[in-house]
Amino acid sequence: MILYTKFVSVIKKNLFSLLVCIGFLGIGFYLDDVLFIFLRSKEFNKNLEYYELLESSKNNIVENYMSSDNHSTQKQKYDTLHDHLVYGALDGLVSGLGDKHTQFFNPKMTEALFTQTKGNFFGIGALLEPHIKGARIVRIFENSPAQKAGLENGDIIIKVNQEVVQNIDLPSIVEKIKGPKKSNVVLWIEKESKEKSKKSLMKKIDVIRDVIHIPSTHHKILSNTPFGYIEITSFAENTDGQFDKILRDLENQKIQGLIIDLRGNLGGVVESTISMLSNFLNDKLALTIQYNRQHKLHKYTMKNKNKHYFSKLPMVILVNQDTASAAEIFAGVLQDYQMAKIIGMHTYGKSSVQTMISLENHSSLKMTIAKYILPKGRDIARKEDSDGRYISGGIFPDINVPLDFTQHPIVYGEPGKDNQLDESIELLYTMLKNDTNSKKN
Amino acid sequence: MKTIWGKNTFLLVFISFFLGYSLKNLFERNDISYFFSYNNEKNIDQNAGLLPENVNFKGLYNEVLHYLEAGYISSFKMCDEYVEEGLAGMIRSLNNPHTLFISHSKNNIYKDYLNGYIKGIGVYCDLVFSDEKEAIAKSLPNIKVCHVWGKSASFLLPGDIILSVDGKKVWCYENIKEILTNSKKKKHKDKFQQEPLISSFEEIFHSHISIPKTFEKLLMGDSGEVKIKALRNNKDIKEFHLKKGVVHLQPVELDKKGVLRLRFNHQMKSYLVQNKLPLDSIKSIDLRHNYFTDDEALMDCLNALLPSGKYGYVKNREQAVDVIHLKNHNLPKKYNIYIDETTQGAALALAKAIYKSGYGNIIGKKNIVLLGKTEFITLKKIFRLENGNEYIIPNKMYCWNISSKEVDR
Repeated sequence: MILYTKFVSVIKKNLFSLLVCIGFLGIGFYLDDVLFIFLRSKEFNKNLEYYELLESSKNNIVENYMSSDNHSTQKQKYDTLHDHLVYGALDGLVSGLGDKHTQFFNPKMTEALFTQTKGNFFGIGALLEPHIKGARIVRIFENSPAQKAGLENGDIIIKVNQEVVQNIDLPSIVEKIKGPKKSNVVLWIEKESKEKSKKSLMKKIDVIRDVIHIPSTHHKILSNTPFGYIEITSFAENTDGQFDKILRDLENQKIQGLIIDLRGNLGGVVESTISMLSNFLNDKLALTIQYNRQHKLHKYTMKNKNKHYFSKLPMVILVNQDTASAAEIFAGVLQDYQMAKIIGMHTYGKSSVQTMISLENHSSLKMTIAKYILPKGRDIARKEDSDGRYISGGIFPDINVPLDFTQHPIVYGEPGKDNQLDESIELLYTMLKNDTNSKKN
Repeated sequence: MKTIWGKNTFLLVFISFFLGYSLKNLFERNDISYFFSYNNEKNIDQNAGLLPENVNFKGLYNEVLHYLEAGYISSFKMCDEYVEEGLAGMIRSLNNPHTLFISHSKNNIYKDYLNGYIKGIGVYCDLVFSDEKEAIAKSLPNIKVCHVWGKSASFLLPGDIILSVDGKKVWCYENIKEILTNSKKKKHKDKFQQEPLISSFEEIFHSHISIPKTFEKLLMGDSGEVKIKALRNNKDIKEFHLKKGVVHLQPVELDKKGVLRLRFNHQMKSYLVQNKLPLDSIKSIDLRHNYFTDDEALMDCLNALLPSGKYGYVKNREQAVDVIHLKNHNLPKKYNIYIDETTQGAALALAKAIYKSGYGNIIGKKNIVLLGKTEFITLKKIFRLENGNEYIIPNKMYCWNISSKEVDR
């Protein structure tokens, strides 16, 4: 009782201090909220408003949407729906920038992207193109499951595991063909008969999926010619090393001309590209990268790797509409310094530089951060109309040669089955002849 | 005791402050704030158990915005346009043909229709399917005219195939190679042929018109003229100059022959509240080309047309069943119902309800959902957002047979 009375009297005497303490306890509790209200900017408020609109729409869809999926449990449906909507919203938001090269990737896409760039995906090892009946094999990689199973260039895939693939887009067909390592995929293919009078053959082929290592370079001496042929499919981190070895090999074989095929090459690492270019040029500006936001410039210069042999060799570079980014730098630099003639179609026109950013929950953001300019100040940025049709941009070939689609089968890099290559060989012969004449004179 | 208070007031104030801040963090970490009703956004928290938040939307959103603002090549500022794209992306991610995002700022045929009008030259078109394509193999794929109204009706007929628009041939991606190959073959066969030879994709893009662009040319815009070349009966090629305009569509129209045309747009519901259908004059109901629907007015339509009784049920996502019990004292009557393959949504549900309850005969082209075994029709709801955008998602299933099992397409 005495203790209680004492306690009450102390409280009474210190009531003000006590109230101050409680007040500060409350302020402490709500400190970040209070600071947040006072300090947040108008822009932040607007961003928050936008977020709340997206969030409420997402909740509304989750609460009301009736999916036709009858196999999952209610919880699974909510789980998947929530994730789908969040990723869909961010994908939409980023695509709103209208920049094809700035993209949001959900965890599944991120994983697929990294597996692909590492070159370890489980497939059959064949390059496909869309066909009215499904997909046509354009190229089969060496030692790939497709080659082992007997598939050939030009074969048309009609069914994948009993499913008809006519009217299905190419990425979906590829997705159906891919699968776990050592699992098998049944392909129904149509082989066109070599004799025109005979009908095409239908065949069922079992292919066992495996890890596919896509080589970024491939080279050979073109049959019945003194010319070397190098195909570069991408500019990976180690491509420059491979390229140096190839050049050494071709030099030993005393080639008299070189064809570098960059068709379908979507680019890769800039440093690797500059290192490869250094085989042909010395101490010259390769490109300037301009970071618009920071007004910074970064200049890349080529350092000679003492390949004197190649700096004098007649050279042709093959390009098409799918030649992009680092591949355009490679072709553009050699064209600017008049080291090579370009044959084929104009290139894609990707003059921007992207970076990959890892986000929460294993998602990622590929974002354009800079643009590059070629040595002679050329900006090759692609311009499109409202329908996404090409208007201008890219590297223009010195000799415009469209691919002849009536030629069948088209086999890239095979003289007689690739009209763009045939044209390149002809040009090399002319260049060689002119060279010899000028030396005589 | 007094001295302790006096000397350490500052310390105690600081401890209280720190204690308060720590206590809040503790609450947040253990997610016990809800029990103390601390969070003002109680409505969102109430769903926490129901909707497991696998992905932290807010965190991811802020992260994406932060990187774009800090490092994107040109300056980035969040605006209405990006939110609109975000909402569209959300709907797209459902990957369901029954869903649709209607942008506030962009033109959309669906938006026009729901608001009671339609623009363009006065046709409804559809793609020609593959088997039909083979029949007209030489003039490859195309867009078929399904329904014509207004002035266009004196030129185009249902079944005509649109071959070119404003002098450009219609193409789709799957026939690029055919176009190229045909052009090359012509080169070999006939050196003096009049049509220009095509050797690249670019040339196709510039001398041809894509299917989406064709739809846009025919179905959008309220002024100007379009030059059309159409194939009739796989034989004759006709050429017309058609003017674009706006056709206002009443939600309910009854012609002199007693044919009732219903359009399930935004005005339908209020129309049926204010007006009564002249049931005596109605002989048939034309539901052909009725595929844009605001399903909200379906029950009002059933109420207006059918006598009292039970007419199947509506099931929501939680499997809750709501029996359709009409209480109107309309007299029993039989209608002829015209349908075709484009009759969808509320129009299809209405046709099936009338037909299954014995008050109608179905006349017209086969519609798989209506005449097949499917017992359910997906009903959609339009949600309007405060920024003017709308989205449509399926939220209910309509069924006309209580004992039936679900057979979804």
